[in-house]
Amino acid sequence: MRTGLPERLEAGLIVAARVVLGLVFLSAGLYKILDPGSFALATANYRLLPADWVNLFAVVIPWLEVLCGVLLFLGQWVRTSSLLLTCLLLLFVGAVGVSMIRGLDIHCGCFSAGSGRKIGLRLLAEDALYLMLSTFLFLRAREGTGRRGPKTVQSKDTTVTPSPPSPRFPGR
Amino acid sequence: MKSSTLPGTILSGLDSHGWFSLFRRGALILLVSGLLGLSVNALSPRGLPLLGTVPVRESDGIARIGLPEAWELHQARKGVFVDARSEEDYRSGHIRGAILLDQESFETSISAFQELVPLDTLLVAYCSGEGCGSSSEVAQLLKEAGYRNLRVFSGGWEEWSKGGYPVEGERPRERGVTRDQDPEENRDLLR
Repeated sequence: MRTGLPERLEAGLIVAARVVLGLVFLSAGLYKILDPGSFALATANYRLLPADWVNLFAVVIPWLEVLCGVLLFLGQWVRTSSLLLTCLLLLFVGAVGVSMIRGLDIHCGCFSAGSGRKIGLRLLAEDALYLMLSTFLFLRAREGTGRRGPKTVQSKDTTVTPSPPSPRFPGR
Repeated sequence: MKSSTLPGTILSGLDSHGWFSLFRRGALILLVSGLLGLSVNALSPRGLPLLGTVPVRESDGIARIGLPEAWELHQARKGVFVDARSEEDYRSGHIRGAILLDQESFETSISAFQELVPLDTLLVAYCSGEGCGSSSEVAQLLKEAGYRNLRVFSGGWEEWSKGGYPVEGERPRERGVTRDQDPEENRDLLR
Protein backbone atom coordinates (compact mmCIF):
# COMPACT_ATOMS: atom_id res chain seq x y z
CA MET A 1 0.00 0.00 0.00
CA ARG A 2 1.35 3.40 -0.95
CA THR A 3 0.35 6.80 0.26
CA GLY A 4 -0.18 7.94 -3.31
CA LEU A 5 1.31 11.35 -2.53
CA PRO A 6 3.93 12.95 -4.73
CA GLU A 7 7.29 12.70 -3.01
CA ARG A 8 7.84 16.46 -2.59
CA LEU A 9 4.36 16.97 -1.20
CA GLU A 10 4.86 14.13 1.24
CA ALA A 11 8.24 15.51 2.30
CA GLY A 12 6.62 18.89 2.94
CA LEU A 13 3.81 17.32 4.93
CA ILE A 14 6.31 15.43 7.04
CA VAL A 15 8.23 18.60 7.88
CA ALA A 16 4.99 20.45 8.69
CA ALA A 17 3.68 17.58 10.82
CA ARG A 18 6.81 17.25 12.88
CA VAL A 19 7.12 21.02 13.46
CA VAL A 20 3.46 21.33 14.50
CA LEU A 21 3.51 18.24 16.69
CA GLY A 22 6.90 19.16 18.10
CA LEU A 23 5.77 22.63 19.17
CA VAL A 24 2.45 21.37 20.55
CA PHE A 25 4.09 18.78 22.78
CA LEU A 26 6.97 21.02 23.75
CA SER A 27 4.60 23.72 25.03
CA ALA A 28 2.20 21.21 26.61
CA GLY A 29 5.06 19.54 28.46
CA LEU A 30 6.55 22.82 29.66
CA TYR A 31 3.25 24.01 31.11
CA LYS A 32 2.93 20.79 33.07
CA ILE A 33 6.52 20.92 34.30
CA LEU A 34 5.97 24.45 35.60
CA ASP A 35 2.83 23.42 37.50
CA PRO A 36 3.15 19.73 38.44
CA GLY A 37 0.56 19.92 41.22
CA SER A 38 -2.22 21.01 38.87
CA PHE A 39 -1.32 18.33 36.36
CA ALA A 40 -1.32 15.70 39.12
CA LEU A 41 -4.74 16.88 40.25
CA ALA A 42 -6.08 16.78 36.70
CA THR A 43 -4.61 13.27 36.27
CA ALA A 44 -6.16 12.09 39.55
CA ASN A 45 -9.54 13.41 38.48
CA TYR A 46 -9.64 10.97 35.56
CA ARG A 47 -9.69 8.23 38.22
CA LEU A 48 -7.93 5.80 35.92
CA LEU A 49 -4.59 5.47 37.72
CA PRO A 50 -4.07 4.12 41.22
CA ALA A 51 -3.48 7.04 43.61
CA ASP A 52 0.10 5.92 44.24
CA TRP A 53 0.95 6.27 40.57
CA VAL A 54 -0.56 9.67 39.92
CA ASN A 55 2.34 11.85 41.01
CA LEU A 56 4.97 9.69 39.33
CA PHE A 57 2.97 9.93 36.10
CA ALA A 58 2.64 13.70 36.56
CA VAL A 59 6.37 14.05 37.09
CA VAL A 60 7.61 11.92 34.18
CA ILE A 61 5.09 12.35 31.36
CA PRO A 62 5.67 16.10 30.81
CA TRP A 63 9.39 15.44 30.26
CA LEU A 64 8.56 12.70 27.81
CA GLU A 65 6.40 15.21 25.93
CA VAL A 66 9.15 17.82 25.98
CA LEU A 67 11.87 15.43 24.81
CA CYS A 68 9.72 14.02 22.01
CA GLY A 69 8.65 17.55 21.04
CA VAL A 70 12.25 18.75 20.82
CA LEU A 71 13.37 15.69 18.85
CA LEU A 72 10.50 16.08 16.39
CA PHE A 73 11.15 19.78 15.98
CA LEU A 74 14.84 19.16 15.36
CA GLY A 75 14.11 16.27 13.01
CA GLN A 76 16.08 13.74 15.02
CA TRP A 77 14.85 10.28 16.01
CA VAL A 78 11.60 11.23 14.34
CA ARG A 79 10.20 7.74 14.13
CA THR A 80 11.08 6.87 17.68
CA SER A 81 9.60 10.04 19.14
CA SER A 82 6.51 9.88 16.93
CA LEU A 83 5.97 6.25 18.01
CA LEU A 84 6.17 7.31 21.67
CA LEU A 85 3.79 10.21 21.04
CA THR A 86 1.41 7.88 19.20
CA CYS A 87 1.29 5.64 22.28
CA LEU A 88 0.81 8.67 24.52
CA LEU A 89 -1.97 10.07 22.34
CA LEU A 90 -3.74 6.70 22.28
CA LEU A 91 -3.61 6.83 26.06
CA PHE A 92 -5.01 10.39 26.11
CA VAL A 93 -7.78 9.61 23.62
CA GLY A 94 -8.72 6.50 25.61
CA ALA A 95 -8.71 8.40 28.91
CA VAL A 96 -10.81 11.27 27.57
CA GLY A 97 -13.22 8.87 25.82
CA VAL A 98 -13.73 6.71 28.90
CA SER A 99 -14.20 9.78 31.10
CA MET A 100 -16.79 11.20 28.70
CA ILE A 101 -18.67 7.91 28.71
CA ARG A 102 -18.57 7.94 32.50
CA GLY A 103 -20.03 11.44 32.41
CA LEU A 104 -17.15 13.10 34.26
CA ASP A 105 -17.09 16.87 34.26
CA ILE A 106 -13.34 17.42 34.56
CA HIS A 107 -10.59 19.58 33.20
CA CYS A 108 -8.41 17.92 30.63
CA GLY A 109 -5.04 18.86 32.13
CA CYS A 110 -3.76 19.12 28.58
CA PHE A 111 -1.85 22.34 28.94
CA SER A 112 -2.17 24.00 32.32
CA ALA A 113 -4.94 23.22 34.77
CA GLY A 114 -5.50 26.95 34.93
CA SER A 115 -6.52 27.00 31.28
CA GLY A 116 -9.92 25.74 32.41
CA ARG A 117 -10.34 23.53 29.39
CA LYS A 118 -12.65 20.60 29.93
CA ILE A 119 -12.81 17.22 28.29
CA GLY A 120 -15.24 16.94 25.39
CA LEU A 121 -15.68 16.13 21.74
CA ARG A 122 -13.55 19.05 20.61
CA LEU A 123 -10.62 17.88 22.69
CA LEU A 124 -11.15 14.35 21.44
CA ALA A 125 -11.10 15.58 17.84
CA GLU A 126 -7.94 17.58 18.48
CA ASP A 127 -6.21 14.58 20.04
CA ALA A 128 -7.34 12.45 17.10
CA LEU A 129 -5.76 14.95 14.71
CA TYR A 130 -2.46 14.85 16.60
CA LEU A 131 -2.72 11.08 16.63
CA MET A 132 -3.06 11.08 12.85
CA LEU A 133 -0.02 13.32 12.52
CA SER A 134 2.13 11.21 14.82
CA THR A 135 1.05 7.98 13.09
CA PHE A 136 1.79 9.53 9.71
CA LEU A 137 5.25 10.55 10.91
CA PHE A 138 5.95 7.14 12.34
CA LEU A 139 4.92 5.43 9.15
CA ARG A 140 6.48 7.73 6.60
CA ALA A 141 9.20 9.92 8.07
CA ARG A 142 12.86 9.14 8.07
CA GLU A 143 14.37 8.61 11.50
CA GLY A 144 17.29 10.96 11.06
CA THR A 145 16.15 14.01 9.19
CA GLY A 146 12.41 13.96 9.35
CA ARG A 147 12.11 13.93 5.58
CA ARG A 148 10.51 11.20 3.67
CA GLY A 149 12.60 8.22 2.80
CA PRO A 150 13.10 4.57 3.34
CA LYS A 151 16.51 5.10 4.90
CA THR A 152 15.25 4.93 8.40
CA VAL A 153 16.34 3.09 11.45
CA GLN A 154 18.90 0.72 10.06
CA SER A 155 21.47 -1.30 11.86
CA LYS A 156 25.03 -0.84 10.71
CA ASP A 157 25.31 -4.23 9.07
CA THR A 158 22.18 -4.06 7.00
CA THR A 159 22.00 -2.89 3.47
CA VAL A 160 20.18 0.30 2.83
CA THR A 161 16.95 -0.22 1.03
CA PRO A 162 15.81 0.25 -2.28
CA SER A 163 17.15 2.55 -4.78
CA PRO A 164 15.81 2.18 -8.28
CA PRO A 165 17.97 0.03 -10.49
CA SER A 166 20.46 2.02 -12.46
CA PRO A 167 19.61 2.18 -16.16
CA ARG A 168 23.28 1.79 -16.98
CA PHE A 169 23.58 -1.47 -15.09
CA PRO A 170 20.27 -3.15 -15.50
CA GLY A 171 21.59 -6.51 -14.48
CA ARG A 172 22.77 -5.49 -11.04
CA MET B 1 23.21 -9.73 7.33
CA LYS B 2 20.34 -8.86 5.12
CA SER B 3 16.83 -8.87 6.35
CA SER B 4 13.55 -8.18 4.75
CA THR B 5 12.42 -4.60 4.43
CA LEU B 6 9.11 -3.39 3.25
CA PRO B 7 9.90 -1.16 0.33
CA GLY B 8 6.98 0.64 -1.14
CA THR B 9 4.70 -0.06 1.76
CA ILE B 10 3.12 2.48 4.04
CA LEU B 11 5.60 1.51 6.72
CA SER B 12 8.72 2.03 4.74
CA GLY B 13 12.19 0.92 5.55
CA LEU B 14 11.88 -0.82 8.90
CA ASP B 15 13.57 -4.19 9.16
CA SER B 16 13.98 -6.27 12.27
CA HIS B 17 17.13 -4.36 13.20
CA GLY B 18 15.27 -1.14 12.58
CA TRP B 19 12.62 -2.19 15.07
CA PHE B 20 15.30 -3.10 17.57
CA SER B 21 16.93 0.30 17.16
CA LEU B 22 13.56 1.98 17.45
CA PHE B 23 12.73 0.29 20.75
CA ARG B 24 16.23 0.88 22.09
CA ARG B 25 15.92 4.59 21.36
CA GLY B 26 12.40 4.65 22.75
CA ALA B 27 13.62 3.06 25.97
CA LEU B 28 16.42 5.62 26.15
CA ILE B 29 13.99 8.52 25.74
CA LEU B 30 11.76 7.05 28.46
CA LEU B 31 14.76 6.60 30.74
CA VAL B 32 15.97 10.16 30.21
CA SER B 33 12.43 11.48 30.75
CA GLY B 34 12.20 9.55 34.00
CA LEU B 35 15.58 10.74 35.24
CA LEU B 36 14.91 14.35 34.29
CA GLY B 37 11.44 14.26 35.84
CA LEU B 38 12.60 12.74 39.11
CA SER B 39 15.66 15.01 39.37
CA VAL B 40 13.76 18.21 38.67
CA ASN B 41 10.99 17.11 41.00
CA ALA B 42 13.49 16.45 43.78
CA LEU B 43 15.14 19.85 43.35
CA SER B 44 12.01 21.93 42.70
CA PRO B 45 10.23 23.70 45.56
CA ARG B 46 6.99 22.70 43.79
CA GLY B 47 8.02 19.05 43.69
CA LEU B 48 5.45 16.37 44.47
CA PRO B 49 5.81 13.54 46.98
CA LEU B 50 6.32 10.31 45.05
CA LEU B 51 5.85 7.48 47.50
CA GLY B 52 2.98 6.21 49.55
CA THR B 53 -0.63 7.13 49.18
CA VAL B 54 -0.43 10.51 47.68
CA PRO B 55 -3.13 12.84 48.91
CA VAL B 56 -3.23 14.79 45.69
CA ARG B 57 -6.60 16.22 46.48
CA GLU B 58 -5.43 17.44 49.85
CA SER B 59 -2.19 18.99 48.69
CA ASP B 60 -3.84 22.40 48.45
CA GLY B 61 -4.58 22.36 52.19
CA ILE B 62 -8.34 22.64 51.62
CA ALA B 63 -10.49 20.20 53.58
CA ARG B 64 -12.81 17.84 51.73
CA ILE B 65 -16.17 17.13 53.29
CA GLY B 66 -18.81 14.49 52.66
CA LEU B 67 -22.57 14.72 52.35
CA PRO B 68 -23.36 14.65 56.11
CA GLU B 69 -21.04 17.57 56.85
CA ALA B 70 -22.24 19.49 53.81
CA TRP B 71 -25.86 19.00 54.82
CA GLU B 72 -25.08 20.04 58.39
CA LEU B 73 -23.48 23.28 57.20
CA HIS B 74 -26.34 23.92 54.77
CA GLN B 75 -28.99 23.28 57.37
CA ALA B 76 -27.32 25.48 59.96
CA ARG B 77 -26.74 28.16 57.30
CA LYS B 78 -23.15 28.29 58.40
CA GLY B 79 -21.59 28.65 55.01
CA VAL B 80 -22.10 29.77 51.44
CA PHE B 81 -22.17 27.08 48.80
CA VAL B 82 -20.21 27.85 45.65
CA ASP B 83 -21.20 26.09 42.45
CA ALA B 84 -18.08 25.58 40.33
CA ARG B 85 -19.87 23.96 37.38
CA SER B 86 -20.82 25.65 34.14
CA GLU B 87 -23.52 28.32 34.03
CA GLU B 88 -25.74 25.96 32.03
CA ASP B 89 -25.50 23.26 34.69
CA TYR B 90 -26.09 25.81 37.40
CA ARG B 91 -29.21 27.17 35.75
CA SER B 92 -30.50 23.67 35.21
CA GLY B 93 -30.24 22.84 38.88
CA HIS B 94 -28.02 23.59 41.87
CA ILE B 95 -27.81 23.27 45.62
CA ARG B 96 -30.31 25.63 47.16
CA GLY B 97 -28.71 28.98 47.88
CA ALA B 98 -25.53 28.22 46.02
CA ILE B 99 -23.73 30.97 44.13
CA LEU B 100 -22.36 30.36 40.68
CA LEU B 101 -18.62 30.93 40.48
CA ASP B 102 -17.07 28.82 37.78
CA GLN B 103 -13.45 28.87 36.81
CA GLU B 104 -14.03 30.35 33.35
CA SER B 105 -15.71 33.50 34.67
CA PHE B 106 -13.80 33.66 37.96
CA GLU B 107 -11.76 36.73 37.13
CA THR B 108 -14.75 38.77 36.07
CA SER B 109 -17.02 37.55 38.89
CA ILE B 110 -14.72 37.58 41.89
CA SER B 111 -15.01 41.30 42.66
CA ALA B 112 -18.81 41.09 42.75
CA PHE B 113 -18.50 37.95 44.83
CA GLN B 114 -16.21 39.68 47.32
CA GLU B 115 -18.70 42.52 47.73
CA LEU B 116 -21.38 40.02 48.69
CA VAL B 117 -19.35 37.57 50.70
CA PRO B 118 -16.89 38.67 53.42
CA LEU B 119 -13.47 37.04 53.44
CA ASP B 120 -14.05 35.19 56.71
CA THR B 121 -17.17 33.40 55.42
CA LEU B 122 -17.10 29.63 55.31
CA LEU B 123 -17.28 28.63 51.64
CA VAL B 124 -18.22 25.17 50.40
CA ALA B 125 -17.26 24.59 46.78
CA TYR B 126 -18.79 21.77 44.77
CA CYS B 127 -19.01 20.58 41.18
CA SER B 128 -20.81 17.73 39.45
CA GLY B 129 -19.51 14.85 41.54
CA GLU B 130 -16.56 12.81 42.71
CA GLY B 131 -14.84 12.90 39.37
CA CYS B 132 -14.81 16.62 38.72
CA GLY B 133 -11.91 18.85 39.63
CA SER B 134 -13.40 22.29 39.14
CA SER B 135 -14.52 22.60 42.79
CA SER B 136 -10.91 22.09 43.94
CA GLU B 137 -9.67 24.55 41.37
CA VAL B 138 -12.23 27.23 42.25
CA ALA B 139 -11.52 26.67 45.95
CA GLN B 140 -7.84 27.20 45.21
CA LEU B 141 -8.64 30.43 43.34
CA LEU B 142 -10.81 31.57 46.25
CA LYS B 143 -7.93 30.86 48.60
CA GLU B 144 -5.68 33.01 46.44
CA ALA B 145 -8.36 35.73 46.48
CA GLY B 146 -8.10 35.87 50.28
CA TYR B 147 -10.73 33.42 51.51
CA ARG B 148 -9.32 31.21 54.25
CA ASN B 149 -12.34 29.25 55.46
CA LEU B 150 -12.82 26.83 52.59
CA ARG B 151 -14.24 23.36 52.11
CA VAL B 152 -14.77 21.20 49.06
CA PHE B 153 -17.88 19.02 49.04
CA SER B 154 -16.52 15.99 47.21
CA GLY B 155 -19.82 14.30 46.36
CA GLY B 156 -21.01 17.46 44.64
CA TRP B 157 -24.25 17.95 42.79
CA GLU B 158 -24.72 14.27 41.98
CA GLU B 159 -24.67 13.10 45.57
CA TRP B 160 -26.67 16.06 46.83
CA SER B 161 -29.46 15.87 44.28
CA LYS B 162 -29.75 12.10 44.44
CA GLY B 163 -29.96 12.30 48.19
CA GLY B 164 -33.07 14.44 47.98
CA TYR B 165 -31.54 17.52 49.58
CA PRO B 166 -32.78 21.04 48.82
CA VAL B 167 -32.14 22.14 45.26
CA GLU B 168 -33.41 24.77 42.91
CA GLY B 169 -33.11 25.74 39.26
CA GLU B 170 -34.95 25.47 35.98
CA ARG B 171 -34.87 21.70 35.77
CA PRO B 172 -33.75 20.32 39.12
CA ARG B 173 -33.69 16.55 39.22
CA GLU B 174 -36.97 15.24 40.43
CA ARG B 175 -35.50 13.38 43.36
CA GLY B 176 -33.73 16.50 44.47
CA VAL B 177 -36.79 18.74 44.62
CA THR B 178 -37.84 19.16 48.18
CA ARG B 179 -40.67 20.67 50.09
CA ASP B 180 -38.83 23.73 51.34
CA GLN B 181 -37.85 24.99 47.95
CA ASP B 182 -38.17 28.69 47.37
CA PRO B 183 -36.92 29.67 43.93
CA GLU B 184 -37.31 33.41 44.54
CA GLU B 185 -35.15 33.36 47.62
CA ASN B 186 -32.14 31.84 45.95
CA ARG B 187 -31.49 33.25 42.55
CA ASP B 188 -28.22 33.71 40.83
CA LEU B 189 -26.55 36.45 42.82
CA LEU B 190 -23.83 37.32 40.41
CA ARG B 191 -25.37 37.35 36.97
